[in-house]
Amino acid sequence: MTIVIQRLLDVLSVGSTYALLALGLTLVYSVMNLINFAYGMMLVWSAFVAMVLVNAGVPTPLVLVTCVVFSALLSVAVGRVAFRPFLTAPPVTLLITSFGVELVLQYVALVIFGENPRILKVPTYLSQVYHVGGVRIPNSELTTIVTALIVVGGLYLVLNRTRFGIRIRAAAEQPEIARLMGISPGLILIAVFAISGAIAGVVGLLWFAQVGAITPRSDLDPTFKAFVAIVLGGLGNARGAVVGGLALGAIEVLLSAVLPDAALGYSDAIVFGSVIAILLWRPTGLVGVSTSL
Amino acid sequence: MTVPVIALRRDRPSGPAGILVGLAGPVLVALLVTALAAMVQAVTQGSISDIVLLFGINAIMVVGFQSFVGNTGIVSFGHVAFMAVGAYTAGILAVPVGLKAVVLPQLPGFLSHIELPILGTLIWGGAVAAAAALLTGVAIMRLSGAAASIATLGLLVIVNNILDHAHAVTRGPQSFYGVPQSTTFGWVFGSLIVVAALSALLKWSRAGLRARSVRDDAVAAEAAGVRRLPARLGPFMFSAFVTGVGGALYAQDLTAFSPGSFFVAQITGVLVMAIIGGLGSISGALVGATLISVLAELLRHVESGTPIGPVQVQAPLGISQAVLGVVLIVMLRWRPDGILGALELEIDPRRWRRAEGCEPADTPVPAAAPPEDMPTERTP
Amino acid sequence: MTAALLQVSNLVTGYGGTRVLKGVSLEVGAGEAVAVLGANGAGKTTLMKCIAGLTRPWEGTIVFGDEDVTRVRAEDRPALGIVLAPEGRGLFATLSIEENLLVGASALRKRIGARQARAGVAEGLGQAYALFPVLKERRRDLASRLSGGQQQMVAIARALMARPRLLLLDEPCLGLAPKVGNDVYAALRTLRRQGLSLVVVEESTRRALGFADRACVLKLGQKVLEGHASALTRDEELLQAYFGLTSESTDVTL
Repeated sequence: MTIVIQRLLDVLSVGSTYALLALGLTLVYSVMNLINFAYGMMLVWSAFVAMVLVNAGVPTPLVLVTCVVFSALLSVAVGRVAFRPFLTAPPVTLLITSFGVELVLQYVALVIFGENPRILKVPTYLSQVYHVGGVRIPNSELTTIVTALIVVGGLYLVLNRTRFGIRIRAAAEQPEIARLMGISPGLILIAVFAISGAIAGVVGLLWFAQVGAITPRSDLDPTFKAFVAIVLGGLGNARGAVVGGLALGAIEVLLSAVLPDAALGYSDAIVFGSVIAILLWRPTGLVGVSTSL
Repeated sequence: MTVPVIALRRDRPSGPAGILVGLAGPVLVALLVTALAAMVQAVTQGSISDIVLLFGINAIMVVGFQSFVGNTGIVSFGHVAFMAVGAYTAGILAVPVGLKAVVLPQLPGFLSHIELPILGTLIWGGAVAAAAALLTGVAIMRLSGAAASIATLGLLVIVNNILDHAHAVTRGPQSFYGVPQSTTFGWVFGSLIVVAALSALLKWSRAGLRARSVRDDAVAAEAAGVRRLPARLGPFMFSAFVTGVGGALYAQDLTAFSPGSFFVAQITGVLVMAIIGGLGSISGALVGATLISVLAELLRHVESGTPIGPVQVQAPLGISQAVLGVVLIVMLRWRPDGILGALELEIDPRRWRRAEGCEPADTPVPAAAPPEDMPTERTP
Repeated sequence: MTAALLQVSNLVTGYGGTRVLKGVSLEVGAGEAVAVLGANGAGKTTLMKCIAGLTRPWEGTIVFGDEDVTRVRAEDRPALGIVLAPEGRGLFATLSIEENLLVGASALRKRIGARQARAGVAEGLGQAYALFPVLKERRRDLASRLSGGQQQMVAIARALMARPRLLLLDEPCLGLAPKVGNDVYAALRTLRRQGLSLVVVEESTRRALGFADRACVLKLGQKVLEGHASALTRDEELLQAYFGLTSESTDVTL
């Protein structure tokens, strides 16, 4: 029984990280056809900023706030400069463009921080492990889950209970008609990139706090996971993103528990293989609605 | 009325003779590229032979990449997977039997006694890659365009993961060495001409037409009896074959490599070359490969610090990555169709004769122009 | 003579390389209802989109009140008082009725000021539900669940939330049963009585001429006929014969 709870926590922790990632990615995708290959770099940049600040002795709460704000601003800047000219372009074009953006963002990080892994010093309380009734609850997992709940909850409230959020949803669904109501597409873009960037900022901290070391090339892993999560869940809707992220987390954790040691090295291959198998069964994703081809 | 014998056309004349006409253009471009490379070899007296060979291998990769992306509209970010499969297959087959005992001591019986000359490794390299494409394609090619692109990334991760762990067959993450350096100018550029011709054959065949109809409008294609999966699978397997051949040549040029040599970074150059040239055109792919290779060389010189004119220029390491990224974005913004779009060089001696008699031309085969969901101009 | 509320002069525009409007002029006075008639492809929707700002004119001007709005962006026009209820209704399917209405009020702050806007939204909702009581019951339902007629009601109500001075309607009865269309026009009549200026693109000549003060006919991007509705009604058969306008079903009430 305790093993079950343990696994459940693992799944929730890993899954909610992926869910947040997928959510940030999907938010932008819903207002313009951009599946952002450079999304992982936003996490990396957030982590690097955190590293610099932590090494300079800045207190943790201030580091958190600064990283989130920085990521939001970076996202808006990149959105404005690199993606806004492609507003009406098809998804494929934007995917390739974002690949170009990733190259540039990575290059700048390489120049500033170099190739070698840098350590992100994590506050000690995160390494604590609680023991409740025989179950090991690492504080890091708890923090991740709680953070994810707050972010997802907050996003839900904003999108469904505020005028601003309703306008974003309207613009995501029908941008031209939203203009007829007086909603400025430019402002919507800024808002969406900012929120997406802020989420990336948060996930970057969660991610690299777990991993411990940051390099400019560490962006591929989160980008992959985010991509797979949104495809698994179903492109283009927030619910799909969350479901996809949790499902991916579940697959990963369960596989690592079930696989014999000899096969553990192949877990990445098996995870993606399973995803592809699921997509065979449901080509539009677990929650996906079959729209265009 | 004069009609040019050599022109850039979007379509080909109908009929079997038309296919030959459609073939001639890309083959001619491939021959020109080969001639260019040969001249460079001669002028530099073979001192930059490795660069020339790598250029040729890159050109093969771009032709392979283009034959898939152009015909299906799916950008395969994970295409390097097939290069890896081709390289490792060729490597395993080419390492001399005696050396195999040292390099791959745990190789299964039947493989440890085989040693193939280069032609065999190329064919097997391509074939195994094509088989991998078949296996994964039945799942991936059902997905929508963007999802399929992402799925190819998944494919790359899977291949990379397997190569990293199948120690018996690949030496895992360690360097795979001992491959004889059988790759020569002749093999590389000979293969290039052959694959260019084959790609043109695919493009102008019914299979190519079917694939492009699905690319343009999958629903309409379905209504016309063209099913998505088989239509896309053909180009996927062909493209994998070509890329596998490229990988096999690569293996027998470098003679040593590891799974890390075949990951996401390697697709950058190929992608940029294809975009520059025009995703719909084989001639374009070759042109793009040439231009970007020259640019990459220049950048490499700048990275190591060389005088450009009166100025000593030195850029931080890796500037080529940033430059390619910027080139990609700028190109997509201002000329998303690339230099040639979907145009191919076309040579039609029949037109010369026709021009003298001024008879009407026969009906051309439907255009290979990229449709709305390929990177193309935005509507205002 | 009072200046017209809307003055469209010599509008030329199109898509890509094709010209759709080839020099169209139109005037709408304050409190007037003008109908725009014509066969499919005549340019009626393009004209509406130009006035609303979704399509840029290549030549010509649009003057609203005493302001030249030709270059004003579409999202800035509701704040000036120009609102378009587009062809096909264009409701946000994933939003509820009330959310659709709220979105309609997005420009209200710029229109009447932040302090007034809050009250304005509540007032607007109240008026919408008064005009279309059935919407009040179903206000939390997703817009996609409504019938065609109800959706049209929402579209009109949503347009009204922005307190327009000029309301543009593109084929309000498209796809609706004739009786439902009658209900729609009954609502439009109420609005007219309240002093709203309207431009309606309408497929049915009968409905249009029975409702509007003036009407004009577009053909292949040009205005070929214009006049007071009463005058044109006499020539209705002529209109139908020469301009290919649709014939009517007998359910249409005027």
